[in-house]
Amino acid sequence: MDGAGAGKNLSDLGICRMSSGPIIGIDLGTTHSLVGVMDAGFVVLVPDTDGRRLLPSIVSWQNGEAPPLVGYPAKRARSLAPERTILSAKRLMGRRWSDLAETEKTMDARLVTDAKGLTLIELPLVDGPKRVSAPEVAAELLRELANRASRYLETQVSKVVITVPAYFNDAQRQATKEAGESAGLEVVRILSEPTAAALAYGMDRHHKQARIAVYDLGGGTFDCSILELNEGVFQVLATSGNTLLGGDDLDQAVYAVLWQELPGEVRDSLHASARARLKEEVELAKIRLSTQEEAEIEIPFLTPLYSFRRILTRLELEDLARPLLEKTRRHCLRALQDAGLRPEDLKEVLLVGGQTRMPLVRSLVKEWLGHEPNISLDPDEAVARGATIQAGILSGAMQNMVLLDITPLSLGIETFGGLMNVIIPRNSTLPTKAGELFTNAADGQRLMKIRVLQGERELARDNWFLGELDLEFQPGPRATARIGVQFELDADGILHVLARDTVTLQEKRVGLRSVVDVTDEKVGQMVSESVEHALEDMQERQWIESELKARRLMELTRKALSQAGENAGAERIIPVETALLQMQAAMDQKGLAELKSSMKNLDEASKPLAQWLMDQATEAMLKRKGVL
Amino acid sequence: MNAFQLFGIDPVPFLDAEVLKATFLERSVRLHPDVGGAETAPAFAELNEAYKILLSDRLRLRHILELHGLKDLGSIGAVPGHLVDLFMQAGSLLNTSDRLIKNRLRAESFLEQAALQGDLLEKMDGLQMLLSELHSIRKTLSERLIVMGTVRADNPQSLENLKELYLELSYVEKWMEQVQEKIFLISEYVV
Repeated sequence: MDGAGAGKNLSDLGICRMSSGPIIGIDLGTTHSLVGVMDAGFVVLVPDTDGRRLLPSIVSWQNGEAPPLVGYPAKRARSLAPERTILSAKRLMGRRWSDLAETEKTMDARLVTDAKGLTLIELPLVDGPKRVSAPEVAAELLRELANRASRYLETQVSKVVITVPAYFNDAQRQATKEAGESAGLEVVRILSEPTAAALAYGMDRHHKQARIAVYDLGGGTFDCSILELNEGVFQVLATSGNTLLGGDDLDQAVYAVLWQELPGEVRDSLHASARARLKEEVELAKIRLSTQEEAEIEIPFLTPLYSFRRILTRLELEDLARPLLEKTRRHCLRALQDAGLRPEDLKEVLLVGGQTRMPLVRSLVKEWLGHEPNISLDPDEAVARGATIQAGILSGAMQNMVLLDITPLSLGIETFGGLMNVIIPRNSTLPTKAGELFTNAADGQRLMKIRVLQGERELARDNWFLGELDLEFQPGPRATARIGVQFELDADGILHVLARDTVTLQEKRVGLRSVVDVTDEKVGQMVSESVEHALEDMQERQWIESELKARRLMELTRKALSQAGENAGAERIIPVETALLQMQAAMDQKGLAELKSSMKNLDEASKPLAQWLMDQATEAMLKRKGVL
Repeated sequence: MNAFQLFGIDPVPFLDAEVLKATFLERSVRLHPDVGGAETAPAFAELNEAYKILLSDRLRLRHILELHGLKDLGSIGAVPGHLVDLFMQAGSLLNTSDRLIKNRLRAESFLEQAALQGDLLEKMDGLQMLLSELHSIRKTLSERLIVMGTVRADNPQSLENLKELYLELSYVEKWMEQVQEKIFLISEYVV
């Protein structure tokens, strides 16, 4: 149905573009997903048969032959069969087992690893355990959404634009593409979420020139992107983010507090399904607290003998949210710095993602970026709208618009000494390529291994290891072979490598082996073995370490006390002195737990003194500069 | 590739960033693979690369020098004489800032953090002064670029001047970048 318009445009250019057929836009979110189509030049987000646009990103596998439940039915199954129900699979996209933190491995779903080092979710079905990957879970969601769009358009949909967090790396983008393919879809573009939101915003505002920031805090990920809009051209200038930070973490923090408050026997007898119920209620209460000052959480018969009731206040929630939100501040400032801009250069700050409904988010963003945030976009729908607009650009239905996106992470290779050598710097406009020349280091060398990395850290090992590629040399004396390697990041931000022998002029696409590094695995094994051996002297070592720390802290505290003298005031000094005495006692008695808690107490007691000392330092500085 | 040719401009050492951007955007609308399909992708990649070169004073000078057949610019020479003092000053300030930032990252207790505050403030002040000095040097370099005009192959003196300018720019920009990064890192602790 869009074929005619697209064809006309393309014949002007004399270019034959993608075959016809509609392209749909999908926002594949951590907690919710949506699908949009272009209909007569308008973006339509397609609802389900009950009129709901959001699809919960939940899949529940069933015993026997029945297909998995997707969306709302799966959500209902969550508290009945939590062990077969998968939430937030996006967090596992493209992440190897070795990338996961220990806390992530002990989530609700049982996570396992396969021979390739990939992370899988194991479902205990009656016929035996079934293992699924995160892309497989995502494929179920994509299939459901594509079917929705096909029904709406009354034609089989096969092409899709899928959005991902801007800060997704190569492996995470690849995994998303893979998910689309296993759902039988051709993924014509992987699009960054904040960029999509900017498209949705800028679509009907024709700016001569406007720079905007997009603050995107979703269920599981955070991004801040800076864009410049220039009459239909959307140019991303910089982006920074964290793919493991979102509203989910706030739910988890609240849940942890409530769980701690439960009576011990209730805690011990709490089944997975009861935990799931509590989590659901926590999330609902959190949402209510965006508009209310208090929310009551009430779960009759959380266990057969215990009914749960608790009032959660907005202040309590905000206290838990603050440290999480504080982490997003750095990314905003980083993106601004990379774009070479100051807050006053921005025309608008857009908020996207369900978590930005929280009033605290809005006030903090205003404080950091100096603009009253623009909340005209629906934070749940903006990304899907943008994905659909991009689909329109790609199919030719939207003209005179183009998006210039960037790569969020620097691409590099490991050099001698384990350092990262950047080949394509972060925030480079896509698609882009860069070349590097390699030669043989020894006579007759036939093979060279190159480790490819993504990230911003100086040391190679601190960055994300994308994979390894083999360069083959024609045998010859050292330093005579010449292989030019071209690294290309395509418009999806996905890497392609081409090796060209400049002597023989042979060219070849090089695949990256991204399997887990055997030596890494061995090192891991060695570490775990040594840990086991060390168990017996662990107590001893812990004591030595703590004592060392305690002595340092003591020395530091005494120094601070003498530096402050009496000027700091008794109310700041006395609590510190008292805590110091307690710590000395704990040290004399050699009690590890007591020592640890007394250190914590001392730190807490010295907070006012520390603040006073900081103020003194600032004052001294200002005096020296003649300001005071 | 000749980036100047691609943008249809003379190989001059100074270019107006706004004009460059307008050309880049206007061509992107046609050449980006989203609009033109896979066929225009190589042309866009070239445009993209040329833009990156022309936009940066440093890369642009380097490109001119390369177009004039000067190679091995990767290993730029020693610090120019009149910048040596500044170089020493920047080097030591960057190093000590780096150590301080690492200590601050490691500082767990409130008192430990407070004890570093004075040093952090002082470093911040020093870095900002250095940055404004670098800015003013950078500005005079730009002014020299503007008056330079087209570099001609038959004028060895102008090529020599350009090389010298390129060297100074390379150093000054690198230091600016590093100083800005340290300021950014310290700004987390001092408001």
